[in-house]
Amino acid sequence: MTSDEIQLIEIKLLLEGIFQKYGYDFRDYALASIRRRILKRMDGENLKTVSALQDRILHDETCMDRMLLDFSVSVSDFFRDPGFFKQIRDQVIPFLKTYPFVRIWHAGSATGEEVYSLAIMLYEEGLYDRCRIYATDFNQQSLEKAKSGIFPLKKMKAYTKNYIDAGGKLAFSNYYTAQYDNAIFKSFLKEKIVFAQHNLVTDQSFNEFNLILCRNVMIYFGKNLQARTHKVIYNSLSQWGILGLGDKENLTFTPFEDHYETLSQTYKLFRKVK
Amino acid sequence: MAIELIVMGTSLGGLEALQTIFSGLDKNFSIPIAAVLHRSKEKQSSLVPLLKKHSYLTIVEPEDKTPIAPGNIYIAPMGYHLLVNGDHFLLSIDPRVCHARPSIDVLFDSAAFFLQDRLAAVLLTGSGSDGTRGLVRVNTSGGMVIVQDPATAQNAEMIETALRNVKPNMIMSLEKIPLYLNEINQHVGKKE
Repeated sequence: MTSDEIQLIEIKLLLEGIFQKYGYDFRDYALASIRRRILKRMDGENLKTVSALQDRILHDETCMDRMLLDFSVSVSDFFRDPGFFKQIRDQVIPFLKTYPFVRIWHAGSATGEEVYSLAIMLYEEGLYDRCRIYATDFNQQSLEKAKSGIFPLKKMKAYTKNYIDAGGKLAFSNYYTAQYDNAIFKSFLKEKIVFAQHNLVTDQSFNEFNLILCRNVMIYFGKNLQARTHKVIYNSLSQWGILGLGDKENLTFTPFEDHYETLSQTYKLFRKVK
Repeated sequence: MAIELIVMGTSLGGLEALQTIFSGLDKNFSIPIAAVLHRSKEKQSSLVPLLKKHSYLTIVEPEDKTPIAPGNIYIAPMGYHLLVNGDHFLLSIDPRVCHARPSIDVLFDSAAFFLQDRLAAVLLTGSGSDGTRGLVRVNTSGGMVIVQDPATAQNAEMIETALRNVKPNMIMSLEKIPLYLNEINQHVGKKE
């Protein structure tokens, strides 16, 4: 047996152990990417084998906290992929305007950059007061950060460019107050946002939505878990509801391909048609 | 052992190097190829059109969970790590590795984990140190390590860093690499 084959056994045992001890289920995550995060934690703990990491995780809860941070690491920006947000503004919001009340689910909202971006656009298009946005993540720490609405000031220059590229209509600096190294986003932006813990791996649908964004979340899932998640999303969309995925994700490799029509192949916007 | 996948990594001067290799591959080249080419943040456009002109083979940017199919060349999309996950690719937006995303190390390491001695890895011209850990990894798990002769590289830094850490199976000029890959490919054909 090669050392890689042994490592595969160790990874499976570690994920099973985490599930049994802590209740977090990463067993159906995509192997190649979760393996890298496990190896990174091994490096961080100065350990040589996954088995040694398993020993520490099972007996030291602070080590599990660190592992959890590695597992939920996410790169997010305001108006990440500006073209996507421009498409939402030009193509999706006019459709949402036809409803008296709009429910939106941002699944896997991480530290909140994209959900605030969405709120800003809805505000500028005069729709925000009629909306309720549910921003969910499995990681409580990420949710707290999102709820705070505080982001590093040094990133605002890049975000301002994204905002303009996404069709922003005002000055991006209208939306935050600079304080020391922080940009504190104005509280009216979160008035219609509900931040809540929801785990796509284990939880079910909890409402019906006109728009669901789930971007670059399922790229970390194995195929079975991805299919399960698509079922939850499908069951949570109203008829003609719209789904937005990450720009390199596709329905082609999932069982739900024929349940949607494509609104934009470039920006990965799909409409539920059956 | 027959080679089932070829992975390639390059940065500075890499577009020309990949064009040279892809244009030298046989029409019936069947071993899938996955390549990482670093580029600057500003250049957002896809490399696929620039590479397509130079090859008979199908050149695509894979999306998440794209199946790995024979006769195809896959170029890692801008801003994503490209990983091999059994019979398909994964994309990830995990942090940069060696200042790069896509990173050569990430592709090579994931491919080595799944393919072991059924993998060939090719490191080409470039600056920086990405690719070294990946090549060491491929070597350890029994895969074939090929590096471009640094004398023929537009920038030799990446190759020289790798050569200080791993002994390759082959060092050859850029022009000879596609000829050698064609031989490997015919060997695969015969076995079937």
